[in-house]
Amino acid sequence: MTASFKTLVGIAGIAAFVGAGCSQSMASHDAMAMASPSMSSSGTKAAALRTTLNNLFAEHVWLAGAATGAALGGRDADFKAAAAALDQNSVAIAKAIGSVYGSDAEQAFLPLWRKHIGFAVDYTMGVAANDRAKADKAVNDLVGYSQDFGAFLQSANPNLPKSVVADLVKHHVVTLKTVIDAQAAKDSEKAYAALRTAAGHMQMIADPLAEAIVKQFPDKFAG
Amino acid sequence: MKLTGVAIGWAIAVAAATTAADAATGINVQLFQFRPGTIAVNAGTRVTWTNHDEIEHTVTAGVPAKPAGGFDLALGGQGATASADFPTPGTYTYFCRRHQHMRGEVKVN
Repeated sequence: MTASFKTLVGIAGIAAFVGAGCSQSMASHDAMAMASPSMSSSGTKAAALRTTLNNLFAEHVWLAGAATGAALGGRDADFKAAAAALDQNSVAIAKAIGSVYGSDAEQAFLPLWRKHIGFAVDYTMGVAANDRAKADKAVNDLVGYSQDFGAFLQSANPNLPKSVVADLVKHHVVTLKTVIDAQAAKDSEKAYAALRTAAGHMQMIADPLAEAIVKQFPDKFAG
Repeated sequence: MKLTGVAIGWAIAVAAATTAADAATGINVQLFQFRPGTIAVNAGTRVTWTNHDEIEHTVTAGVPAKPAGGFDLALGGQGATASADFPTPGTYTYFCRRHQHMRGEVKVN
């Protein structure tokens, strides 16, 4: 199942969308913004958006990993606390979306975002119970969800093609699945290495999202 | 000259009324929302949904926990449309089966 699932991930699409040049230029932009307080406010606002989204998406992975680790370790109180914090992070991400696209979009985004967390929980439960059917269904649900998420962002912003966003989300799923599998195998070294990879990958979602928003609303991020 | 002016004014009024009626019976499905979420129409009106999302949605009577069975329309991707007639006064709730947070309501007078 793992191998077939990974084949669904369009790495080529991810590379085409993000682009090494884009990432490097944005990284330089950020460094400039921090080094020069007198920089134009348009650069500051765009950088602030990108930083916010990067922080929120990375936090999502760290908290998800904490929650799944606690669940698989049988630490119920830890799991509940991590899950609560994860949901607070979800609300914060929805608010960030709402700050750009309005409260209606925020209200539509939050349940959609929470849905993939539910599927990840299903996968974790399936793995914990050694229930392959449940785990496989969760993976299929997550793959289907990636299409929904791609469609949502494309509707919000035509600069974000559905197929590319969907591939990025699939890769997010794959990286988090690796974390969960390692946690289930009680391989802490592998689990934490995978968690770093998963958190790092979120930049590939946050950066293009921020860039697309700035491109869509140049006035909002100028002056 | 004055009569012509009146005639033109009447034509504009009719055109405006027609546009308003069309708008009142059309619902856009965009960003995983039914817009407007609630509309009021007269009995006998045909309501049309237009999907602007590049994903399949449905327009299903009732609520997720209790589908009403009156209509279950497929909106198969961006640009797809579907219609339902509402001959009887009442309040008709509906939702999307694929994305169950999506809810709407048609109030028929």
